[in-house]
Amino acid sequence: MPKRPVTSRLELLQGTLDFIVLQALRWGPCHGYGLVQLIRSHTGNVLQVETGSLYPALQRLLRQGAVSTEWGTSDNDRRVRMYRLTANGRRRLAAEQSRWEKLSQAIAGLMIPPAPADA
Amino acid sequence: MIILERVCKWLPWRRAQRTDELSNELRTHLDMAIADRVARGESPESASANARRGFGNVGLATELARDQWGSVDAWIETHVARNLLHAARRLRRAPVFTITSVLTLTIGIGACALMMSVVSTILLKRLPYGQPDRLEMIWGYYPDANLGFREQPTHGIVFSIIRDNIQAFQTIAAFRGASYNLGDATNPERLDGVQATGEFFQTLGVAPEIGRFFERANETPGSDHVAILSDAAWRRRFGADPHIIGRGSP
Repeated sequence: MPKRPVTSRLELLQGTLDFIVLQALRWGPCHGYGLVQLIRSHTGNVLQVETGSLYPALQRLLRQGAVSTEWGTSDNDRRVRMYRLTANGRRRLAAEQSRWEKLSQAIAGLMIPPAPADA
Repeated sequence: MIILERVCKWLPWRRAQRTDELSNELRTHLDMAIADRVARGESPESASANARRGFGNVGLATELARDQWGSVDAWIETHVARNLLHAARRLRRAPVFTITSVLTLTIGIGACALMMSVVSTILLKRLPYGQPDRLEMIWGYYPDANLGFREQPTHGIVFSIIRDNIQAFQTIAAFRGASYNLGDATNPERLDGVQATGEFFQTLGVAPEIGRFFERANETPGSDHVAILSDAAWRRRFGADPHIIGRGSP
């Protein structure tokens, strides 16, 4: 797919969102609304994923084969599309996880005030 | 298989179906958000308004999600066009090879197409008559004639003998190609035609559109001034005149 200039600028942001969605799906198959709730409650109401970002992310993951879908019924009998992590998605999650850990360690390293020079 | 699936996914009706599914999904999402707000004690009206505000533009969300599918054009561009371009460049770099291949393919395909059209017309397609499988051509057999083929058209006397003695066929007719002048000095026309014996059309199993075909009686000299016009000649030359039957030809 030829990259539009906007796409590459958004890549970091999208990568993070994809990672968050994949993480949330680790808990089991879930529908879109459930994912929003899950992400919000697991991040102490800090991360509020907008539908305008969530569904594109889900379609993107679907196309990449990281998630699969099937139509199911929600707890209160609504017909909903359930997203499920595929084997491919799990592998990707593992890879992203180590990348993320490296990144957050690096950032954490920046946060620690430099040790006072030995006198 | 993967390619086939990919292509199938982009078929217009599949795309429409997926768009439908997507907007259903988003609507359900909104419904659930409203239901949750009502469960938390909001009035239905304010729940609906607040959920919609939180949700943003449904159409836009659908649009953005659909963008992730990519388009057929983009797929063709990456997977087909690039390879074609590459192939074209390689071919241009080796002109002798290209010309040889193109010529070989052209002649090969042309010959096959020609052969097939001949075989189809002559061997495969049934003759356009009532019972083409019961039509047979009788040839004279002249082993010493040295005419290239030993099977040759025979002549009138032999035909009469065959017709009077062979019981294997319902009817037997003879024909030969002939040319005719039609019209007068001001408007003459040379027509390709066929001279035939009485049961010619009966043997072929066709019926005249108007009038009648000639019969055995028309074989005798004096009563043989009978002509049958093709549909094309009738339309072109006589303006498809339905009262042409019985009129003498100029």
